[in-house]
Amino acid sequence: MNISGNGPCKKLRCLSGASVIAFGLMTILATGGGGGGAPPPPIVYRGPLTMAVVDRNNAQELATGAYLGGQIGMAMDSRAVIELGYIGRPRSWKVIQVLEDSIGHMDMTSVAAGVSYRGLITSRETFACACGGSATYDIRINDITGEFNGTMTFSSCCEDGVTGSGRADFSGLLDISASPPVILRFSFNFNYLGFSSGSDSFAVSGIVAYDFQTSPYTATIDMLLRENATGSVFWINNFNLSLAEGPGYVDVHFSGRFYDPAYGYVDIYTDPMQAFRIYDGDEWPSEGLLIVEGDTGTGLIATATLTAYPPPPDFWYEVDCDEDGDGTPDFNSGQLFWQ
Amino acid sequence: MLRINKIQFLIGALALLVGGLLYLVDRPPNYTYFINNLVNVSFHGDTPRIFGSLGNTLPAYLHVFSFILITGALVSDKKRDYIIVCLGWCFLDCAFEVGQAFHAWSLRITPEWFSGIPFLENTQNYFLLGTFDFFDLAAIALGTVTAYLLLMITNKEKGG
Repeated sequence: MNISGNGPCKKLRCLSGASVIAFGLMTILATGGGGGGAPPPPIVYRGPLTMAVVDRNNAQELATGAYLGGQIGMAMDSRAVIELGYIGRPRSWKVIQVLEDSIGHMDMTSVAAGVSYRGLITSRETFACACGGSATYDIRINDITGEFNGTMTFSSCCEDGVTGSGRADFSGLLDISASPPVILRFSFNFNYLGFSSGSDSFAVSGIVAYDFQTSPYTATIDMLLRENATGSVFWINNFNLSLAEGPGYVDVHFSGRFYDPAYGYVDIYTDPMQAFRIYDGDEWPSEGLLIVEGDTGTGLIATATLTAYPPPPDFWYEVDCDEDGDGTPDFNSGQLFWQ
Repeated sequence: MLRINKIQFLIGALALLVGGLLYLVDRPPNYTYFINNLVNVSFHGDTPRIFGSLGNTLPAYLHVFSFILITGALVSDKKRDYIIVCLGWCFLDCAFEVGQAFHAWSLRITPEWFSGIPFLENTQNYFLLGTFDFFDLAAIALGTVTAYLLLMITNKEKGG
């Protein structure tokens, strides 16, 4: 290229041209360019991978963190503790609810009735989500085995007050002989999905798998979760979560491992006889018992127990802690409020 | 003294600003590296989507369009050089877009030392998590053509 100008001017043009090219490349990388796929920052868990030592100082934080999938909207900066709002329903529940509702929007009857080519039915559909936004999915179904896979892109898809955005691959199994066809298994695999509800905002990366052959259905979750307010990344590992709907309420049972970036992991499970019961329209549980198992620091099992209660005066909970592993609580938090 | 074609530069800069505005208003902040890491400001959700579904493809158009004009304004006023500028930016933008479709290969050629360097550290994510879209390629082509036409219209050189 014959860049015009004499000596110093030509150099200046070259320099400014190179600067513009460098700036252009930076903007490509910084924005993702366009299309449906601006690239998000990675979600990486950098906390301890060892079992957390549970004691009276962290029992409440670990128990509520394990229940909610993160902390209750507080963060420290150099000057003060900042109120960041509240989480409400467990984040793992928010994720599986948006994804499950999206599965419910998929019109498998019309997809399965599509034209088969070499044993594969392919389709691309878009549906409107319940409280705004939409999702588009491309699906391929084996018309003999009923196995399917595809990609779903959520565009500010809002379900029950929770909005999700991003792209997820999916696969599963359809009972294609049933009329209408019934989804037996469904698994989402995603690198980055963003969720927000009220003042709570987070992003997840991982796998959510549903087994609809059990009643109530179960969801298995293995995902990293980043709180956008604090940047903290938690790991929800091998969670099994079941939702049993009753008249005006949902009973939530879950078990699994929860990694807290400050302390390490705890094993958690809900009492089989006392699920977390959340009534329609409520954000907080009216009852429920969560057992959190960690380390005493001497190799024994320390336990924190979170028990939820209804109003009055407001939704509240208490945490008991057996910090020496002798089976007897050594500490009671007293009455604590969710918000 | 560097002679700049001010009209070309201003149109290019304006298109760049519109592109920036789109990311601030229409895209969720978590999805954009420069919002997450630099400006930390987003109006997403506070206002209705300004660009609607056009906002999915418009950045691809605006990027190539604005940088062709800015580069053209700065480096040359020769008409034949404009073709090189246009083809260069078109190739660059298309290469990044196609790289998203073949992300395994793209990741292999991404140097490891990029990690930890601002902007470059996002290269891996760009290819791994970005979405290839034929509409983006079409937008890049359209942006290149319109930018070339604008360069020709606003060029002060007689002949070339």
